[in-house]
Amino acid sequence: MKEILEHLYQYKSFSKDEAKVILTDIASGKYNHYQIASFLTAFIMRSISLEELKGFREALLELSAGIDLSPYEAIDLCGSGGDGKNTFNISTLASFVTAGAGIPVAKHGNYGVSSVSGSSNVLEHLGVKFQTEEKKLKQQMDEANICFMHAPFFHPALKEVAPVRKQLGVKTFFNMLGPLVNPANPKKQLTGVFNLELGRIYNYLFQDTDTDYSIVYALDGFDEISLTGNSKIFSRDKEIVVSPDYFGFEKVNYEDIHGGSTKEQSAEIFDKIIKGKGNQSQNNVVIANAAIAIKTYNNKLDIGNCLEMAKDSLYGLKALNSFNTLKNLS
Amino acid sequence: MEYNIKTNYEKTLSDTYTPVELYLKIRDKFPESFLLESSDHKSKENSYSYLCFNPIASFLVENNKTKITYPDSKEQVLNTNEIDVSDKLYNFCNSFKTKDLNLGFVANGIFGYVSYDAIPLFENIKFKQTNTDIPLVQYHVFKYIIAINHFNNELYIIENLFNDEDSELDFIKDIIANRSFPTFKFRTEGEETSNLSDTKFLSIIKKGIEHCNLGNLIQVVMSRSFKRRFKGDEFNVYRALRSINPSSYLFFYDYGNFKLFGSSPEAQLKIAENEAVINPIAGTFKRTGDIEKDKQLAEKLLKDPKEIAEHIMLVDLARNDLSKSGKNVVVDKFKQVEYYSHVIHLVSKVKANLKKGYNPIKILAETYPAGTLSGAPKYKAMEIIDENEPDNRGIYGGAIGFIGFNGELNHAIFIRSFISKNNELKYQAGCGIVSKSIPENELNEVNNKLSALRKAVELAKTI
Repeated sequence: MKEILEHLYQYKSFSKDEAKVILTDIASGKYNHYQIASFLTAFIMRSISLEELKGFREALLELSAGIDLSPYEAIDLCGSGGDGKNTFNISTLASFVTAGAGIPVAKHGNYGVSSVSGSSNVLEHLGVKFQTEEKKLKQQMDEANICFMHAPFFHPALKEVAPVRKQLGVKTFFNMLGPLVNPANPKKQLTGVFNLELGRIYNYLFQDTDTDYSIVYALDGFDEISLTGNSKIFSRDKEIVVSPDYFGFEKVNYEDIHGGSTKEQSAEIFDKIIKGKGNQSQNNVVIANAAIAIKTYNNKLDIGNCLEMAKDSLYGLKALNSFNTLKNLS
Repeated sequence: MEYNIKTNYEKTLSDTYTPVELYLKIRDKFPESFLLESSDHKSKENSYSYLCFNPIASFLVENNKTKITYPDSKEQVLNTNEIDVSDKLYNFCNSFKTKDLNLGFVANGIFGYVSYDAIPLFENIKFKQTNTDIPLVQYHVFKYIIAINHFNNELYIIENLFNDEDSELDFIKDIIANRSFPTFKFRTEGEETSNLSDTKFLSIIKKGIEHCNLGNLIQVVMSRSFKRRFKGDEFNVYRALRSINPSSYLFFYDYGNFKLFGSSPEAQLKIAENEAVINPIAGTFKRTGDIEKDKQLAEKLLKDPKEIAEHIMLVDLARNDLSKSGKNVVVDKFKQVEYYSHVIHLVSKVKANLKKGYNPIKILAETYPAGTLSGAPKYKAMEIIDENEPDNRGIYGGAIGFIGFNGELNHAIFIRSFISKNNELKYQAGCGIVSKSIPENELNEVNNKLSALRKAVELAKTI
């Protein structure tokens, strides 16, 4: 580790392969927590390079319990989290709306770090049991058109660094890796990012893969389409800035898309919206994000069609049906 | 509407920073940020670079709608055909009440462009080609402007505060002082494509010659465009371009949906201290790389009857354009040889005095497109271009730059420049066709003009 740290202190960067080896070694317990803390800190002080991020990603994916869901050709909707905005569970709800609209979803999620209640918190609270077996996940796909993978169960590597991350209490490059390491490695992905820098680096990373993707960032700081202002969307063949107009919606107030201040409240809000009883702003935000997921899945559809499909799924209670099926399967 | 803007600024030394470095630090902290540079640091007047970020107001003309937004988020949508765009834009400019900081340079104003396709907004002409992929006119007011005076190595951070906003100058200083900024790779995909084959372009050139022979035109500028798909960070192409083709006007404007960047050698119009200036550039020879040979070429250029005729015609056009609103039109410099990275040009300077209270946008509208991008007589030339070129020109041949709240203006012609949209770089160049033109030579002229751009794309892959 000494050489690794000295390399970093001299402002040098690692190749993809070097980065991969280092993270694999960290996961195997080769280094102590002090060393890991110092390693993480160096990356807080400078920008991570694309090659390093690719290496870290490969290491995590290889170490993860791989799940083969390829026959389903599913999409993942997963934000980076960490926007510090404490909105309700927009991308989790959008996942069920997308699944309800007939598009297979392989969702990767975790407990909230900066928000009160992440997707794992809210689903757990509402009675969804986390599955780890491929067979069970396939059953979820078959019956609910959506499966949920709770990240810590699939990434033993993260266990090794979890105490260090917790003690540090600040964002590290691990926060950038979440959306990149879905154990089913889906070829379609909608992901939110907590800043434009991350949007740029994800964009360049996905450009080098065969994944169809959309990366969204609301320019006023949200890691999803918040409809509170303009949003940037990166995809394989373009980057665009869209206003709420693009979705045919009015601008939304920040207060209207707040999440709860407790896990219970967050679950309550989730429950209300999935039953089609959310307020206009909540519904529209969920529909907008689901529409982008649908469009990412099938680029030939125009956004109007995608919005219709999303509305039909939410208001026609198809999203609710998907959710209930998933819950009852557990 | 009136907006009182409180302007703060801080001054420090710029010697440890470069504009490119600062842009890399800022571009992802503030979406839609601009970089304007000048590589002409010989004179004090021309040695400023600007970074503009955090737009707080904008003026945007699409085909039918004109959308104006103000710092308090008020929005006005007007029917474009019911308004006079130059008046409206001038009013927009004047709605910001700022104190002149007396820094000795333009420290505050609007930054943007008018595209070639916008000409019908200012002139009684209709183009058949109306589909535009980018807005016709777009200007922004920014909360932050960083101005670098390369002559004295000074850096100014200028902050425009509306209402009781708190200053965030410290936050900006922290970003600037940060030592880390990421860089990424760039690569092309596939081959360059053009909207015209060489054969088709030659036939268009011949049509131009025919019009000149018939006496419909003295000169017409026909152009063709090229595209190249890419992945990664096209800012590297800008970095390469400013190295390969250092020019008076270097810029990188990120509009979110698309980016404009380039290295224009030619001013569209400059206004300062009630004086308007045009520098017609025409007469082009390719440089050889050998200084002695280049000198001989320059002398040949000065004696070439076709090039001289073309140049005089453009000087006349500039005189004519400036006399519409200006007085005392004078040709200040005539037929001077100037060396650029890849070509030699003949350059003149035409100037005129303006009446107090002039509308700078009106003067800009009266002088664009430049003769070098259209021809003579200008009106007829534009009609023939519209008839013969297969696509609308978009911003190619338009003007890009800034207008100070004090009425100063500095705009470059959008040439030797790229539009980056949908992961595709688009670039365009034209050739001045007269009756004596040899079609193959004109075809080559386009390639000569684009050679710096093509080299920049190649170099960008290696950085």
